[in-house]
Amino acid sequence: MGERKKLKQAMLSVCLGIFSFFTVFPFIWMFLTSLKKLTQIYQMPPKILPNPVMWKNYIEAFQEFPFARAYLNSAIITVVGVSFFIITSAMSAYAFSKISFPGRDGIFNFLLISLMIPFEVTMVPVLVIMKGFGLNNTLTACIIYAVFANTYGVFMIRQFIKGLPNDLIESAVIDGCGHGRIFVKIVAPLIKAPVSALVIFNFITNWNNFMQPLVFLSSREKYPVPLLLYMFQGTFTSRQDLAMAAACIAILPILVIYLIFQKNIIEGVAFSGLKA
Amino acid sequence: MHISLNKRKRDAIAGYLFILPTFVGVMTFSIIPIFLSILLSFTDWNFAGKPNFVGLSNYVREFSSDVFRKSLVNTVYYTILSVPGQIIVSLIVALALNKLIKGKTFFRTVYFMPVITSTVAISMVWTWIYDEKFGVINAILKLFNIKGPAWLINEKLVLPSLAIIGIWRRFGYQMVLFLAGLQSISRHYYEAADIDGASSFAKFWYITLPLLTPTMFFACITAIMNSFRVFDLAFIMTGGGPDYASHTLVLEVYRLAFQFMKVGPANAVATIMFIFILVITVIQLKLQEKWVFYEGD
Repeated sequence: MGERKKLKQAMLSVCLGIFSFFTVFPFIWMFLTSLKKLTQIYQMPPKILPNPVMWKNYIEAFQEFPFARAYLNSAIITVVGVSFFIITSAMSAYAFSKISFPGRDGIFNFLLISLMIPFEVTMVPVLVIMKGFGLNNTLTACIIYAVFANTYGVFMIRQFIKGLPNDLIESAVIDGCGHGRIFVKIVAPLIKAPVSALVIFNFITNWNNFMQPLVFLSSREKYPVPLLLYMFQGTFTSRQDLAMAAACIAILPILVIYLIFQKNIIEGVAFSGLKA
Repeated sequence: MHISLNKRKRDAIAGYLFILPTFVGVMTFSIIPIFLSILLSFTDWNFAGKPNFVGLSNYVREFSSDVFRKSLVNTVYYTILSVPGQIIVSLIVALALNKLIKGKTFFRTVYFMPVITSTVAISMVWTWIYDEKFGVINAILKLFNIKGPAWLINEKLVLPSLAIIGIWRRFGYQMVLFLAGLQSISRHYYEAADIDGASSFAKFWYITLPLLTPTMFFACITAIMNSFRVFDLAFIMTGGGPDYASHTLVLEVYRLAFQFMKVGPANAVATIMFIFILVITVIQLKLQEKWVFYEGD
């Protein structure tokens, strides 16, 4: 590398570094504020570092609000929702790409309409339908919506399965395998890798979901983390220390998952434009 | 003959069974609701009793309502503020990252972080950063002897303030799209330009930008669709205020339906939004056809 090029690279890194600082600053500020004493928070000009360091804020935030319960609710909605989303999507993706039946492509294209229908537009009828099934104020409503609300899972998995050689399936059919067995024994293992990006991304989307729980749920013990956090913020407007501790508690699991799987997530977005 | 007929029948049954859960689910919770939403927009229903057909009166009512008009203007204004910002910031960052030799993954990971974070947590910390008396921004302004405004309580500043968060929150997503687009541009173009002695700017203007058009277009569409649906930020941070200055279309649907139980008008607004989404999607599909040739490269 020439001197000039080295200098250019160094300057580029510095600029990107400064910009990184601005990007993460809100997170840093959230964390620093969560460790400050209340009197230090309402001080002008603000002190950057907390002194004394109040880890106690976290304990208090946990005591004031049922976060453990909210974590459990979020975990149930997310884990069950994502599992069924992937299973049903993969099943129809297999059928839409490798089984021939009358009306197949027509039905597929028709279902894709749902990609244009966001919850923002259908929230009232969806709530009415959920009520009709007696699912008002249940986690099940959130799960069902997470599983069926859209077809991008079907669309993406179908692309992968389409790429698998037909011989693979035809020879299994000749050997007397039914489609159920082919799906479980042959197709499912082969799509594990591409599907994993979809799983992680869907997990994050569902975990952060705010609007559906807001519309579907009415009792606090059923709230997932974002909704509880919203209530928290409304109740503790003068306790910025606890509010920021609560916010940190809320984003921690997703942050950890993101840092572990960031490569899969970002590549998933790059190659398929996964919705964010 | 007998066997193949049998197989065809078996295939058909298997096929329908495999798509059954998705079909029923998507119909019940996505496609039927959109038709219901359109139907309800022509009624006077209020979650109870029998709906009566009222023709177009909900639409007429909404278009003559100040709050609705404000929410429409605000949504468009928010889109105009946040979409170009997102595109420009993400494009510059992607171009810089694409030139960087070491540390690409690190920066990429950092810039994408706001995308994966809960809007509620984001709204809380930004509300605090924007705080008039104790917020960081006004503290910095004070160093220069400027008295910082009440960012979120000022009618003129509230939407730009929210748009800044919108840009911060989403540029990482667009950046990843642009990075993928940049990496798919063949090196040969640049090598040929180097032989001709083209300047960096010329290379950007005549090679990078045109070949990035499809990506740019996709990024713009997703950004527009997203900012058009803005809800969480305004709902959590300002509740649409002050005096409806940050009231958006989705907030209007929510307010009409769940605060005033006015199902008809709420769905009239929702239907207007759906028509907008349809129009954008049709434009997208039409233009995509035109640009397929680039993607073939």
